[in-house]
Amino acid sequence: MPEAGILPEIRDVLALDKTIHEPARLAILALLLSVDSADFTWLMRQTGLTQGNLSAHLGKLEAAGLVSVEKGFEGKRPKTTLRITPDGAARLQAQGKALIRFLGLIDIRPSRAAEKQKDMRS
Amino acid sequence: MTMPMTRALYRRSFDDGWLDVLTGLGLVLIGLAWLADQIVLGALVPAALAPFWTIGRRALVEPRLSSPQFGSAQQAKTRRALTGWLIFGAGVGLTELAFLIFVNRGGTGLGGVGNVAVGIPAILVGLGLFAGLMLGAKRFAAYGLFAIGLGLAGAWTGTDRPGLLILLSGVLVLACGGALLARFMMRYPMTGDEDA
Repeated sequence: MPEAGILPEIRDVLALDKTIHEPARLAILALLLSVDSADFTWLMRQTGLTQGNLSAHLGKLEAAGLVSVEKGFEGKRPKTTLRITPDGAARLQAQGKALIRFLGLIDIRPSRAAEKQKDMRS
Repeated sequence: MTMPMTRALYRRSFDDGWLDVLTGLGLVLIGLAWLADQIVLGALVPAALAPFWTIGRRALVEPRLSSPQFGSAQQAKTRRALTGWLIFGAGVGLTELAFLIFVNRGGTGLGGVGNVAVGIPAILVGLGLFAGLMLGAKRFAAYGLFAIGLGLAGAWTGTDRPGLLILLSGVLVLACGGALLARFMMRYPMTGDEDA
């Protein structure tokens, strides 16, 4: 299919990384980007995902090199420490920029951004 | 500069109510110390309760919700906020001590000023509670307004027990904190062993 007529924003959004784009994984990566590190329980509470579901998503993110998983103990309790990798952070930010450019085409970015800011403040 | 999501998560990390419980308990104990004419004991309350911040977080909050490791910028901000609160609290304490010495020396000869002065400790406590805003906990502004209102009401009604006003402020903060903590504990039961 000829690509010359495709808008770059559409080309970029079609090329989005589906490992990152899945909503739960997008939320996990965004949360991990916001902190230095977090543990499994905190991520489970913040996303509302079940233990099994979160494990599966983390497995995919780890396999893609987006998240690092470090297993250890805190006292007698097992503790899994999770971090977004530098590659994960870069790819999430690139994906975000592509999405913002794309959403800018349909003129919903300013109002959505304002809503998001409002949600963050409340 | 921290991200909006970091700031939102940070603010939420104080929504479990433990900070309110400790603050409320502290004010109740200070109020009781004032009522028992043991003001020096009241001054020791913040130092006595401070270790319970970590103990309570470890026993009640972290097994249920855990907590993330915030970045160095956010940690520095927390240190600044807590140091600011501590300095502000010490300032309030010293002002109250100065006020007390002033009233005791003046005795009843202060007349109308004495009535207004009775409300000052609670008003100062109210100002101190506003410092909770430094941590992003907006409800502390409401606690502060309540304490200031109580101070003004106490001055207006001519009560001669400033400790009672502090005690009542503390009861409100403690009750709200207890409700928040109970809600938190119901919402987040203890987790078992994790499996990632």
